[in-house]
Amino acid sequence: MSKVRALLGLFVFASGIIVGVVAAQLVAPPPPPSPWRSLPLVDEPAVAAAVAGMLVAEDARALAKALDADLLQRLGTAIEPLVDIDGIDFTGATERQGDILSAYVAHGRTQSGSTVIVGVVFRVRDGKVVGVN
Amino acid sequence: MGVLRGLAPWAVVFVLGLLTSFVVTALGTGLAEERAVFGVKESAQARQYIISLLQQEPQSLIALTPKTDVVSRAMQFRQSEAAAGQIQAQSLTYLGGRTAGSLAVHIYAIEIRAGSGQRQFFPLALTLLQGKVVRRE
Repeated sequence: MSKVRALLGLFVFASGIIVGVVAAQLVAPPPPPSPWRSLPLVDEPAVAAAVAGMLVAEDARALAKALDADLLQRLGTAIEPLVDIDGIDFTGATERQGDILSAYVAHGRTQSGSTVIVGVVFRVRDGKVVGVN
Repeated sequence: MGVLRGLAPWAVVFVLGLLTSFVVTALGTGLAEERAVFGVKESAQARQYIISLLQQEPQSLIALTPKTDVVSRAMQFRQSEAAAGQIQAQSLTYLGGRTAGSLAVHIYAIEIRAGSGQRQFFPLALTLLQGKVVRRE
């Protein structure tokens, strides 16, 4: 009898677990469907990966060689308010008519020491970084 | 009454299982998102914000941003009115994102056709704090 009760208890507990998992998923609703088509994702462009690497390495000299003054200024605006970059993760890239948008999230610290993340996107055309957002 | 009393221990066991799995799932999902173990799930608020932006729905945009003063909200309506019919979205592509604590960054690639017929392809990165868009660039 006690074995049956233990098994029943286990079954009731497992049922609770299943309902709890479903409830946790329902709390975070899925994004609404997009009315527009989605472009296919492409591989990370090597030139954008190289610039992202320079950012993490804090290699100002290499950045100055890789990007012109206008792009450097845009990059400076894009990473605000970060002053120390601890890492940068590639999140995805897509291509349209020769333009590749390569997206990254940089994480690091602000002047006041608080940890933040910011999004940075490189526009790559003909194997060169031609834009930064 | 006796039946209810008999069921009470089972109800307690059920609720215990439910609460345990709810908390573990919620914490586990949050941690997995932060470490991008299985990639980052697109935020419903970020997608809704982009859709509202492209469809010029100021009411939705206001609801998805932190509370602002009435003049800022009026400007939002004015900008949407001015932009109505000026652009036509062609594609919307989610490029991924990351979360760190209560902060989340979600990045999109947008393709639009302006009123002049000119096509534009540009990125938009949204920073969300507790489900509200606090930065857009």
